Amino acid sequence: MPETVGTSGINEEENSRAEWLRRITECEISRADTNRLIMDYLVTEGYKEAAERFSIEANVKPLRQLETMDQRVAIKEAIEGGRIQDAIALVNKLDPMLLDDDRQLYYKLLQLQLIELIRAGEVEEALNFAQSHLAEAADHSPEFLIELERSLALLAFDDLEACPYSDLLSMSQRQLVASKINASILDMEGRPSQSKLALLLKVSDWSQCSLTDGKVKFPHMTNFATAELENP
Amino acid sequence: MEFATSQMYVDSLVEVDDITHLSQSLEKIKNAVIGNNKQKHNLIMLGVVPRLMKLLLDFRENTRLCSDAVIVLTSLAKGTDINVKTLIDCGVVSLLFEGLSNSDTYFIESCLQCLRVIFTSAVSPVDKLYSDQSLLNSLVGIMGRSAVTQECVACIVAHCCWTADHQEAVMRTDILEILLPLIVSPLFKVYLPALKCLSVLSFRNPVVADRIAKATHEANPVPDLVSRLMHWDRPYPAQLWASKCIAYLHRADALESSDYLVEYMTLPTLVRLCDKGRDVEVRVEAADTLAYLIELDVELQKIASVTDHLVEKLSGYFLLPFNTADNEAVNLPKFCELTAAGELRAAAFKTYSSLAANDEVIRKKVAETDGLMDHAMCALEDSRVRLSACRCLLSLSRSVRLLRTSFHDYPVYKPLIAILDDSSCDDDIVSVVVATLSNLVLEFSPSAESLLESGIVKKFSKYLDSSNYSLVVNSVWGLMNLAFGAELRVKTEILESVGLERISQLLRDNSAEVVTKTLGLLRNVFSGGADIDVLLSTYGDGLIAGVHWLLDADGSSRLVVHCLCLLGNIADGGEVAKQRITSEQELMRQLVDRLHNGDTEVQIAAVNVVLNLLRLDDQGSPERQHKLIGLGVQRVLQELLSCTDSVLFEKVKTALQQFSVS
Repeated sequence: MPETVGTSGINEEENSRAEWLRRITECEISRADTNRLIMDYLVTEGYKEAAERFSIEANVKPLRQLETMDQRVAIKEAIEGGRIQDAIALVNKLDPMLLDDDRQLYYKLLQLQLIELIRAGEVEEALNFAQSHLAEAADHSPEFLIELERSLALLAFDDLEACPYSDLLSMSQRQLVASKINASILDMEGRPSQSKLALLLKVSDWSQCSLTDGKVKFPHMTNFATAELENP
Repeated sequence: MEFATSQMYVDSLVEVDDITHLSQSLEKIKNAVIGNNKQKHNLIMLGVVPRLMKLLLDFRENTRLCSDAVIVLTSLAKGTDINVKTLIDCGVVSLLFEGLSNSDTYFIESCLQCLRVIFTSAVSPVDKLYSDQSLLNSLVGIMGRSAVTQECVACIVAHCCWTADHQEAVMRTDILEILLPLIVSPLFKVYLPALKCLSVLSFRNPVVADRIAKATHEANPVPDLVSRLMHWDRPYPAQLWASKCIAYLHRADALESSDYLVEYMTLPTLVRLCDKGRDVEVRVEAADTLAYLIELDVELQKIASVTDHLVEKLSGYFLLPFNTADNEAVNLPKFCELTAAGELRAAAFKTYSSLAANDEVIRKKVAETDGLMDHAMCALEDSRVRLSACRCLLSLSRSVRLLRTSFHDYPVYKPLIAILDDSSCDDDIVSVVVATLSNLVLEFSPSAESLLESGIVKKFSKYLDSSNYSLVVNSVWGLMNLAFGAELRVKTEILESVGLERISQLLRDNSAEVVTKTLGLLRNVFSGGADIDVLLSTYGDGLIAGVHWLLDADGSSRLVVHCLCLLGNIADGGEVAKQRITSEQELMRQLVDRLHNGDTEVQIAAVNVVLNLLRLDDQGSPERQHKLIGLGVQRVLQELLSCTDSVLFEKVKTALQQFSVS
């Protein structure tokens, strides 16, 4: 089929992309809304300092008190700093029921604790810890058994980075658990557990999938971080 | 945690007056047992529960310390049901209820959270809750304190309200006034248990359901507020329980089936929740609730059958494998999968059963669902799902067309008979099986002959002695259907198998339905001209005595009509039968009495008897006519000529013509 060429001489596919971009640009989103979205993200994810500074610079008040973030920030810092026992104690102080109710979350914290022992080279202590604390968890949760096996596999390698499961050692693993804990605490407080910005991204992705399922041709945003559009 | 360490923790709570030390010990214990059932069990074995209870009693002024102790108890309770049982046996529940009279909100919340764990467990001490009305009063009394108290009390009541007595006890408190505003709470943790509470309170309770349906909150009708929770943007549990609430209100006659909330909100929501993308629990509950909603209403069944491809959607409930392959090990995930598969199948069968209960078009659609009959046949051999599969087959068996096609192509009667032969099956399933077989024995059913050969008469007769009312009714029904249009040998087998004595007992049963069905059975047996004379010669005495007794008893018109219909059938027999009737003085007196004094339906039935007795071309007709005249029948018929009912008038006229011709 020959390419159709519009009267301007531009290829119709490029026209569609240009048209799409034009329509996006024409959408009016107020600065105030954007700032509220950013503030909501910072407060939900526990970036208190950033939220305080942003509040001053952008002159936007947070929807909820920043003081209540202190506990969540402390827990997040303890997890990201590898101080898992401290994190567990802080969570228990904030909500004594949370880890009893969400065993999967508790097992994730124990897994991090095990990984820290392995990272520190305390093999015997790691094995004792796995036996006394994690074996029971694996009995009740087949998914956790797989995670336990992955974690213990690290012991088989002198060079931990060479292990196929070395991703368990990365900061992103701690951040993932910290994020889950943060979401659970917000849920416990009756607040949305994810930021509106995260929700918007999910809605965008869902919208694109729905349009694709409906066989509509449009420029996809393949990288939300860069907002890059690819041709339809 | 080593056992020695556990012992140390427990010992640290003994004989110590230092509040700080105790507080630190409690914190250490709390952190040690969190999320670990083995450690919770160890500490309980070492006697931590009595220590904590003593602490609560000794330091009751220090609510912070007591709250920490209660938090540890709550954590212990979140282990296994054995832990909960131990707490209950130690008397923790009473202590916690005492704590509800404290003024400290945080302490009350702690007590309530522990009570919630205990009362929502599998070993919940429900009886204790209802043994003393003051316990319920105290629970409801502190409900309004905070979001936590609202959540916990609603959870406890929702989980522990099982019977009409429980509903009554709860309704003696002010719970409704407190619950209704909670539906509009922005907190999911508050409005969901409130919804559950309203649902369980209105379940099969027209009084409560009516109150809820008519209640308002801030000028908004409560059912409208509930329906808002069905919206797509609400969490699935909220949509599900909002639908349940409206479904229960409808079934308790507080909302009509044509109500917008029922037809256009609840029904479509439940169908939507059956979509394959949902969690198994949601799909199962949605299907169960849908089955309950539409069970008795044909219009709702019709609407449901064309809503969002429901019939096809439910077929997706059979996709999970239901059985293990040979030599396949059953580990925990496999066990969970098998359990889920069973629950999905049972829910699908229940919904199909409700859908196909009344409408022929829907029955055809359901029966033609890909693989359904195969699944049903397999399900009959599995105790997990056989009851719901049987109910589905019962609904389908009401179709003449399906009896001749699907039930012929699939020998469903075989596994059904196997269930009857299985002595471990309880009366509920047996009753449904008997009801289904009652349809399969109908004259035009291809399975009828096979069932006769398998001894179905004896099987039905056996259940006439059951203490289960449904089973007795269904068994009589089955025999009644068997007898319809049957050969003499079958009728004889029925009478021999049941026995005259049992028939007499059935005719004297307290239940009008049993008596009516028995009369129907006898009508079908004593029909068909020549057969009647043969059967009367053996069973006439008992039969006539039974009919006489019924006519003498102060029964309803309906019963009398059935009785006279039976008499009319017998009068349709040969000379033996007619002679037998006219020779019974008392019976004839009762007949004349009914001609004279009965309502129109009774009089019509009585005139039918007279018509059959009078028939001119039957042997002995002149003598019988003479006798009837002597009894005053002709005179009464002449009086009846002034009746206003056209059917009665025509019959009376015909009867009088018979007298005139003789």
